[in-house]
Amino acid sequence: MQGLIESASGILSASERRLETVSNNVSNISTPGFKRQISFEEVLSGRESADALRHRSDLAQGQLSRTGNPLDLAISGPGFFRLRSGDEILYSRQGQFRVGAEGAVVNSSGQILQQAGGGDLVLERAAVEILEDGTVLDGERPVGRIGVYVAGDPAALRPLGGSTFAASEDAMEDAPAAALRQGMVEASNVVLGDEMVTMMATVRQAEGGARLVQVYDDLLGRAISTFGGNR
Amino acid sequence: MNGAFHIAAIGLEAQQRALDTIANNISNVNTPAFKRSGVRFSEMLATRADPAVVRSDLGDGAVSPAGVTADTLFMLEEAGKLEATGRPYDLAIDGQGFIEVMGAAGETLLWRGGGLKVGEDGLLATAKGLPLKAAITVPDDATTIEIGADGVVRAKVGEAEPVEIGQIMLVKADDGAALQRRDGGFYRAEEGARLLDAQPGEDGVGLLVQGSIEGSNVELTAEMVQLMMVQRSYAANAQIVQAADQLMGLANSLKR
Repeated sequence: MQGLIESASGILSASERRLETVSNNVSNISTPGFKRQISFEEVLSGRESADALRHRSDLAQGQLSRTGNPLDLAISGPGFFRLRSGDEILYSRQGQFRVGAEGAVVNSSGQILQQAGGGDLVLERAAVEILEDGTVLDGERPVGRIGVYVAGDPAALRPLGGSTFAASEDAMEDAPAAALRQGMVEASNVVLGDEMVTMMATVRQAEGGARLVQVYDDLLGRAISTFGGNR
Repeated sequence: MNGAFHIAAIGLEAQQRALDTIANNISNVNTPAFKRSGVRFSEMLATRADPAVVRSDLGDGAVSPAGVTADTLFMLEEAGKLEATGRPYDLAIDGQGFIEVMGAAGETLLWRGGGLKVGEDGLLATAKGLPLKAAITVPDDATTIEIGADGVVRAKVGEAEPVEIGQIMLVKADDGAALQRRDGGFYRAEEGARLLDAQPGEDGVGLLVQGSIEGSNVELTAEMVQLMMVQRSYAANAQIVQAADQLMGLANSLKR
């Protein structure tokens, strides 16, 4: 009978966690390059509770929309930008950049876009032409090439939320199938309908869990009064 | 702990911010030389206070998703339409540069052009009375002035040939995010921002156009579409707050 209360509390906490994921997806519905996260339950051996909630990212391509900013970049096809934040290397598909301090091309979190051969991309001005293969032309002069990478093994890519990913450097390789689109951003791939359905299902799941607790409480109460009354 | 509550509340706040920005853009659709602000959403990640406490169920363990943040950036690259007014004292910049003017407190402000006038002290100033940093004195008896595309200002006195009285230079900020908007169409560069001085026509700062006014670069249809999207995402976030509330209600009613 102890298992009943354990799975009930497992259901309750898993539904809270699941709602957190839905909540993060919905708040990032307008974040370019955001990949929605899907939570799913996994039964771990030796554990009976449904508490083992896992996440995976849905890497489906979002729609491309035109903004006209020269440093808005969208990746069409699989691939990620390589970004440097301090000593940390991160990967993202969010391609809204600007020329920041000392000419470094940064995103809104201040992470610096990396070139294909390594090293920060530094520009003199924002009005550059960027070709599909990542080559950056200032007038006629090539000034760098933006690197786009894919994970050889998809499992090597660890999502840190929906728009940033971490991976060890040797797990990533050049992405030949990806094409850069200048002046465009990739919309978030969150579908509001799906999220709302998950949200409703989650609330119902929690209701089920709560009902289970009440049933357990009922049974316990009855057992106590039945056996207690016989004495 | 109920993360969904906070994440959704942060989402509401970010959408509110986007709405404020759109409202400001729309209200300035007819403001000369106005540069619209673009809203940029990006995901926020929370770093766990104690990285030793690993929660394998939340991915990496060191960071967890914490909603969204919205920041704004002036769309300086987008030019407004130049409208010819024919008035010699109207000035526009066809390019990305700014004209430096002296602010009230002696600070340097950046200006995208507009109406000029001759101040009481004879200095060429903006219509609001702030003198240009180039300190160009217009002679009292000048009938009209000519401003060349290269920034050279000439005054015409009577029937004589116009004489050169000064040169307007342009500056360009290499980081658009280092500019703060002041009222009246002025911008102020933050401390430490790098400003590039250039003669008009050089280094992409653009050329001066006399007798024209630059229109606002706000596109009403684009703003309206954004407005609707903001409205919908706001509502969706509000729904999540409700659902999170329901979950907490359930937890509270466990004890009968």
